[in-house]
Amino acid sequence: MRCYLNNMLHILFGLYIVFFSSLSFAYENIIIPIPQTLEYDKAKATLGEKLFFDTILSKDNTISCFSCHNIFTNGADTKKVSTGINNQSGITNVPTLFNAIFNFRQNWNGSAKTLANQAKGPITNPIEMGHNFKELISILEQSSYNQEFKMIFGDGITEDNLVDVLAEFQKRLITPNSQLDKYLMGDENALTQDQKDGYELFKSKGCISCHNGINIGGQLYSRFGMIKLINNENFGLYNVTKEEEDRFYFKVPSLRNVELTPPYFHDGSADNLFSAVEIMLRYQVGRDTSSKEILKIVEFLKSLNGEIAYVK
Amino acid sequence: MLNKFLPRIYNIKFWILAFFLIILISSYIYIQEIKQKIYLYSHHNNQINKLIELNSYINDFVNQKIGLVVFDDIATKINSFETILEYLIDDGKINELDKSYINKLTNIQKIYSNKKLQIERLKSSKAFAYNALTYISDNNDLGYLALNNDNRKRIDFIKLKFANLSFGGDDLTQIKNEIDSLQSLGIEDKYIKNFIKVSNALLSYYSQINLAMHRLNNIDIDSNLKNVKDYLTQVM
Repeated sequence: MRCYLNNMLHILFGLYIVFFSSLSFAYENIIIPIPQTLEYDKAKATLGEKLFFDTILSKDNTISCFSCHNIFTNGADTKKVSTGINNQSGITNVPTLFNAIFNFRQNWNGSAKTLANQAKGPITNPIEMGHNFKELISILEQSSYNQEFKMIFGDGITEDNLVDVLAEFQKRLITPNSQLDKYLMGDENALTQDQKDGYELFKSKGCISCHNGINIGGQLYSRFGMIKLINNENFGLYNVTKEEEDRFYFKVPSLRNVELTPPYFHDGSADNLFSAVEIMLRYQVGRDTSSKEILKIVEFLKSLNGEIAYVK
Repeated sequence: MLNKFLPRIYNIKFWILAFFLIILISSYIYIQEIKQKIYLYSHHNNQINKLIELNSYINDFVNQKIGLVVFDDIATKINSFETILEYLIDDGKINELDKSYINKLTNIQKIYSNKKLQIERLKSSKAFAYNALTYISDNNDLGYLALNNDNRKRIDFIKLKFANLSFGGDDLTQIKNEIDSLQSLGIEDKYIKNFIKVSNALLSYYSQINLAMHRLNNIDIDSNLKNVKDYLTQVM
């Protein structure tokens, strides 16, 4: 009997080893470097660029896309929430436009499938630009934009053409050549020792299970507080699906250029990276982590700042 | 006399010629339309084949075991399916393809929208489950290494149960019972408390994975796509 039990234990232990070793994944190719450029339609992107900086898109001619998305610094702003027309405050922290093209959906609740869909939101949102397309198109038709659109599109200025050029411009807003990308492409010295340690912790503490791929995030939804729910007034994906199961689920954000985009989370509730990492480790992955380890992860996150291809 | 009839004969010839000309032109237009329809249906048929491939890829992802997943590829495939389907419906409407065909596509779109939502839930739960399992299996955790022999045996037993679960040897209730009995001991140890917290969360996400899998298994896109394909083959 004892011999039988021993054998059983050995078999179970074997299963244990097989199962858990199957979990350990070769981490190669789990984060993919950003390409140097993306193909885009130059004429559309140029027109999109002009519109991007133009306050004509807002009802009272005060707000442009650039007002909330500074594409010379971080692709967003550094406020908790941005300010729209008539000094109204937004309800979520502005996500960066940098590398947004690589996200599986746009907005924190994933309500927009594409960049073009996303562009429609702020233009018509009463607390952002507060316009309506009918009126906006009529204003644009009285301007030099009319001819410029006609040179690209047979049907001139339409809602779809308008957001199409804005989306095309955003293909230029990528940030290649981060230190991590260089490291992944073979430059062993691209990361400092602390950053290398931080990268190992980033993987071993489980951050990598959601933050991976080309955008180091941006490819799935996750509950804000997988282990323990974090106080939250925003319902996330629930606002789109109206299904209880989706309450407090948000799109996992990209971590590229994260050092440059404080404050953090959909509500901008974490002022700095240290505090954001600490909250995520405690509530999202359920690990107790020392301050020293958190600091190393923060150092690693700093290696994700890329070069702004648009400025180059 | 002849002069009197000639214009009439010419007149008849003219009408016969005109009649044949009309027949010829109508036939040409008809053939062109048929050709255009065949081209359209064949193009749609190719796109349906793409949808079948994408659906099969997505199903493979659904049935994958828990592991570290780079979600870029599956996210692209999920979006591609949606985009192609939207395109086929719009194109079908513009080109006035058969209404029953467009209805079939619209029906798939409705079913797919539910499937997509279930997959998104599955993605989140699987990502968390992987993450929790790596924590549970980590034998180098300082908290784990600091445990005394008795406590380590208790933890190892639960670790073993989780491993056994993936081979169908244990079920969620059995593991839950083990975790509850460990919790009832009230051991004041930071690692054990956290281990219990993560294990409980893992069990709850396992339940969500099972629920999503169950729902996904009841969503049949494949036979609907094959049905559309059969229909297109008949039309062509």
